[in-house]
Amino acid sequence: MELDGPARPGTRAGAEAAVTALYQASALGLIRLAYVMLDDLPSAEDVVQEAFYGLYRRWDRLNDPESAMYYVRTSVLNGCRSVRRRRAVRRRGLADEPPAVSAETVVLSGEEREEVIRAVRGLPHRQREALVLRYYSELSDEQIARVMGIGPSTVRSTMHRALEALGRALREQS
Amino acid sequence: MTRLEDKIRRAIHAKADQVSSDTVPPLRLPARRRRSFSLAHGGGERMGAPAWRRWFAPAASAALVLGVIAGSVMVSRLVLGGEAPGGPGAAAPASLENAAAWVAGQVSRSAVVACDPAMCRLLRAHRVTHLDELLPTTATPVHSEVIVATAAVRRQFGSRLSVVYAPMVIASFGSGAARTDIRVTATDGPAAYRSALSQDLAARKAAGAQLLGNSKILFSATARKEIAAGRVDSRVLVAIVAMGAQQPISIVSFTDSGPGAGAGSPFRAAELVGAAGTNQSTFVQPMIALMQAQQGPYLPARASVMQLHGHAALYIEYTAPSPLGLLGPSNS
Repeated sequence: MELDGPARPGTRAGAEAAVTALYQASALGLIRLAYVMLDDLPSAEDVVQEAFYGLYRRWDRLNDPESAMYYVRTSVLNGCRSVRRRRAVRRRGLADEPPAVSAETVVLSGEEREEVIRAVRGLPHRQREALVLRYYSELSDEQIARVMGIGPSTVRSTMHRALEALGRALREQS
Repeated sequence: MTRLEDKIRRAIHAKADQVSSDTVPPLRLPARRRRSFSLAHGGGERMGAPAWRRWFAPAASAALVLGVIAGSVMVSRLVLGGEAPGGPGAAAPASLENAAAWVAGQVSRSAVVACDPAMCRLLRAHRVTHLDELLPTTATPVHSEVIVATAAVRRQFGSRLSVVYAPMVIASFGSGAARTDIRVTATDGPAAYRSALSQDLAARKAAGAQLLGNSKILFSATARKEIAAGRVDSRVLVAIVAMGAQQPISIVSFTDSGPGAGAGSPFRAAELVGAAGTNQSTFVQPMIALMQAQQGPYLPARASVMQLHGHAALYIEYTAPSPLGLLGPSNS
């Protein structure tokens, strides 16, 4: 049985301290990223909690701490995808209402911005993720590629297609 | 930057800023003693001492041999036109690494896992030992319980992989060519698998309906929906019954169906607390002892203390894949 004591690298206490520090430094940004994807704050918080819990469980197996942030970002994206899939299944099976944008939100954030967000959410998941990682997390093609597990050239073509689709969708709406 | 890009950036940032910076909840991690309560796979070994101590000696003695084997595999793959794997020193793509870590952490140690040679190497590095290596000459991948479907495996078996050999995805990582699915093998064929899955779902729904009527067991709204829909693993249901018979409990949530899992993949983990009025500090330890006393498939992989809203809570988790038919046929 492990005794409480000062955190040492390579111990569970060390892992806890490191994961907690990373959480404190990056949780807000990741919750916001998940919120943009899901439009649901409790689900966004859950997805981020799950990601850090997964990181904590696998801490011993990480080759270098730098990869921790990539691991968490990837987990958050996978978590968001799972939530969206589950929602789609529930909508089919239980006829649940899709998450609606409240009138208040529309007024507060501006109709045009909501239109853009709606159009982003209408994109295929890979395009949506690439777009949010670029324009919210400000990642480079190489960093996006690593988070999404695809090649940098695929990121570039995905971004190109996403921008084309968004341009079309926004022109149609206006 | 174009006007469109600027518009997108401003819209995404405005949306993100709706999340106030003072609303970040505290991180919930299992209590530090958690590894002592890991019940499967060697009683907490996997969360235990630094892995290098156990692996350094054999790894060092095998390094030369592995180098030669890896080199010959590279050459043979290039000759056969297969997918070039990362060499022994190269980092695997994130989706492969994530898939291997997930299998090591979630799949039962007694389950045989089918994998292509590159993935098998990664899994061995994660200390997964029951492997069925799929060579280019392997005709069918059904001598395993779980298949790690990398691009190479998908190419090798084509559409028969998802239609015939392994219809159910229990986790998925990455996308496009880098996508790696963890699939459950239909050892008796797809029709028998679908039938068993359907019967199991009906039995889980029936058992869930009974649990929802048990006055000693309370559920959060989400947990109630999930249990009614039959989305909870039968082993978790049995564990809940066993705990509810001891003292009133409250189910907070069900988790761990695997990232990207198919809708038929049930939740294998639960977070629960003592019902209102229970002394939470004395609730968890007896429940862990009860879980430790379970036998066979009902022995959880993990039963540990976690912090939930500042209180001690119990976390139980069973390994993947979820077994079918444990509850017997449904009468409904």
